[in-house]
Amino acid sequence: MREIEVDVLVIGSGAGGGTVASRLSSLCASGVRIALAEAGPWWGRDSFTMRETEMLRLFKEGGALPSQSFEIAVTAAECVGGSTAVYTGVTFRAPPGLVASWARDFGLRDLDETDVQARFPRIEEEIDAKFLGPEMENRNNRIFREGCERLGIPVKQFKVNVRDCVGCGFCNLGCPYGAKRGTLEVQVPHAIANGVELIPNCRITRVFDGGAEGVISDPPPGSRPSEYAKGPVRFRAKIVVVAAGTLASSALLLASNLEGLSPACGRYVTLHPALTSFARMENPVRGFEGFPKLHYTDAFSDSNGYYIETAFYFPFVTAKSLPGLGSDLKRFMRDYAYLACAITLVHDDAEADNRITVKDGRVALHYRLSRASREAVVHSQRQAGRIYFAAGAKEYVSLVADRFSVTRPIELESNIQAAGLVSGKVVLSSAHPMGGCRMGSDPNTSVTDAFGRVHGHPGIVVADASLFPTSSHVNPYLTIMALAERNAEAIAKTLS
Amino acid sequence: MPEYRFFTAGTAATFRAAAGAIVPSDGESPGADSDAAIRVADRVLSERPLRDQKLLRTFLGVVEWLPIFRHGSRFSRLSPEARDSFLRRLERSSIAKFRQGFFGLKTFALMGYYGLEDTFQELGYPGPRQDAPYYQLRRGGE
Repeated sequence: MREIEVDVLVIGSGAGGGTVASRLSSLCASGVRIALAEAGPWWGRDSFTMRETEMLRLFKEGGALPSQSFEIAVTAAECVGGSTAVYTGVTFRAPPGLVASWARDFGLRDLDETDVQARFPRIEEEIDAKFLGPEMENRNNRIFREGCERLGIPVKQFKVNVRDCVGCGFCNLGCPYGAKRGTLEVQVPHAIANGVELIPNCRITRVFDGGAEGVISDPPPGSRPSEYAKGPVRFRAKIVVVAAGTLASSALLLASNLEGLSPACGRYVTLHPALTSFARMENPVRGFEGFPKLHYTDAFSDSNGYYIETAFYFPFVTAKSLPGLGSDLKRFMRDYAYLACAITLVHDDAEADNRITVKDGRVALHYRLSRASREAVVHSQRQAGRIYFAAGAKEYVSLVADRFSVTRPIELESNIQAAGLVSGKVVLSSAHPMGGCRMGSDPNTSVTDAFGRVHGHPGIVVADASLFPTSSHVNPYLTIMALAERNAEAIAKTLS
Repeated sequence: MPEYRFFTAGTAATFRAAAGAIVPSDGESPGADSDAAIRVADRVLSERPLRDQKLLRTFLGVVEWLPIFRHGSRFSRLSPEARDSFLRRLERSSIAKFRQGFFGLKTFALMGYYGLEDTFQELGYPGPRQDAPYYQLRRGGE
């Protein structure tokens, strides 16, 4: 077995791991050795083909991991950059008060809302998060905005982290121009330039106090080469940072049989359940041209527990998000260039029974939509329909509806009912899994302290969305980066 | 018979029949039962974890033989109308495993058809941009 000795091993190169590696990399000049192990390959912008089925190779489980109940499937990337390689760059700060509620409700005296909020502007500057100008608003986004405005629904714009974006729309298949400023383009190159050693295709299977074990595989064709030969590997490290994402981090800790690991490990997972719906417009929308996501509304956040964001999907995922089969589906898809698209995202609560386990060596996700979440899904699907009809839609399609499509707003309520939310027929999606290694002061109900240190194992530090005690209710990557930065600072103090 | 990596002759026949019901051919374009679409599905399925491959193979067996009880015939020998009706019942079945199986079957059929660049013209979708680094690098190497 190959042995690699470092001071810090970072597992995962997404929003959390990439940030930790970048922040600690300044220590390399003083002789600190840091390795960044990524389970997936290192695909560069020159290997992003923009072909939808080919680019499934960027994702875990070929694109989606369904829950055991088949109510929902999680999409997460497995490549250098993690999910920041395939997100759209939608940048939300944690809502004011969220971090304070974590500190208050989970006994996290060292977690300070003001400190976390103060990190956001600097990180946003580092990764070029900004509001795009009106010239970047494509028709899909304009239709959504106009629909909201006609109904008097406040519509907002979010920041996105891009530089010199050409508006090609292929963000979710890996930015082919390198304009999206995720960790693939910003933090990981910064870390490497400072001396961090990136080891792609390295799947860690067990962590322990003082190190980790895993397996290195050959880089797949088309990905960047690695100087590490395939085979088992053992790391010796003073600090092991677990930042493989909610699913993999929880599973890794569970599989490692750490002594005294909290019974909360893997539990309290939230998924920010999402459902896409489509409207056929009279004139071409051509959502594939221009930047795909600019607008959202949080008008129903407090009252009904969800956001609606604009969205765009390529042909296969669009078709997969339609109900039924046969000529209806094919006819609707033939109007692909006329489709407007939105995604509704539900604020789910952290429940102990929503959890991750490891079964036959694979991650198993146990998740049930709560009654409140089901009601929010139904309400949000009706509301998205109202917005599109106000914008002039001719036909609206929601998976929850009891027929293929509705053509009049008056039909929305009677046709979109909770009874339509049948698992397996309607499979919600999640791109924002959170929790599983939640922070807290009580080892019986939490896995780590306020700096991500696993209770009883201070040399094992978690630094990703699995830390969230509850859902952030917004796209989480910026909050992940802020928490990862705090944890990196605590590690640096330990090392010094 | 084409050489498949995932399908056997039997499972290919069932999958082709189901895919043709999910995206039927019509006067304007082929369906998801075209050779090209089946090849895409076969490639993607062959790259799935073995456990998933086994599940879909098993489900294809269920799809092929279950109609015997109601229609007196195997799925791949049913009329297009009967196939459509059978698959719709699976989608709405009270048995969760049937709904899940249909979801998987539909996913791969749609991937086969809508992942094909030949389908893009029908959708008015231009596909990948040829000025991106991936394509420029390959042209530069020619």
